[in-house]
Amino acid sequence: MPAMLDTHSTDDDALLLARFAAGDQGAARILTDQLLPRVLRQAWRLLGDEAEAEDVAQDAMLRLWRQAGDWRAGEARVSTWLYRVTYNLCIDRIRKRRPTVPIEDVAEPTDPAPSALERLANSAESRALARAILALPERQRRALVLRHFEGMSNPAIGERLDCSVEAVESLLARARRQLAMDMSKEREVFGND
Amino acid sequence: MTDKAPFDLDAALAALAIDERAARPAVSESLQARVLGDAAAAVATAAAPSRTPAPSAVRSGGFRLFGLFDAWTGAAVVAVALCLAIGLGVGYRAGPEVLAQAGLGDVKVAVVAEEGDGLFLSEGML
Repeated sequence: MPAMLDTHSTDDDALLLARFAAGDQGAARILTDQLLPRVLRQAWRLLGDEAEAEDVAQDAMLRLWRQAGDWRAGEARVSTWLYRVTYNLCIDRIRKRRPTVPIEDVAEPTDPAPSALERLANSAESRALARAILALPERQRRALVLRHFEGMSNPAIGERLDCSVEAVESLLARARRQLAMDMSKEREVFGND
Repeated sequence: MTDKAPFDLDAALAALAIDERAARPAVSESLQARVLGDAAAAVATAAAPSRTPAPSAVRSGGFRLFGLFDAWTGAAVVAVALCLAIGLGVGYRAGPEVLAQAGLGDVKVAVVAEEGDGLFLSEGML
């Protein structure tokens, strides 16, 4: 499993944002170091293109800077807010991009996150697993990606997806059950070859 | 015939995660510089004095009339009141013959008889 990436306190983010709003550029640097890699990865998974992911990451961070002065601590966590902003920016880009892409090349209309995953998989089994992840319902897929690729804890995933820990556990259990079924079928097909 | 090992989902997910991590883009220096540049610009914009004056309850150049109206509404109220006062005053002094010369005297005579000159004349003006 990847190392836990959400180890720093999210309250620290709000404090840093308040310091930034007061003119502390050092706080901006710390926030950038902590948040930008995650934002970039999220955008990259959704868009599958590094240059576009960079543009989205910059845009999302710019919105954070502009929001800093009006940030109301305690209403939302900075990382959760940024995750949603990034997600929405990516979906906007995918929608804009779609008319120029042949319809048969559009893998997933709502959230093409694992298409990038599928491309980078190194083995047939990994590619099959990536396709199975792609076929999962959206919330199951997002929970699974956050758990297994971002290494987030269930409570942190719950905050991101705005649901309880129990709901996250349920999403993950259903996702895993579906993946196990899909991969068993896949192996039967391979076995018959 | 060979038995296949049972599918290990955790191992497969871990292998895929390894592939994913190997392919992850790193934050480039140029991206970091752009983001920090945006941050500096955002702070500078927030710190700069605003070009637009703070909104005021009283519009510019204004005063409050009895604490009720702002400048332009107050000026309009004063102007209407002055016009009424001047009209009443002039009409009162001119007398009914002025209106009679204008062909309105007969119409207002009944009003004069009932309510007095001042009111008659003011009605004539209005």
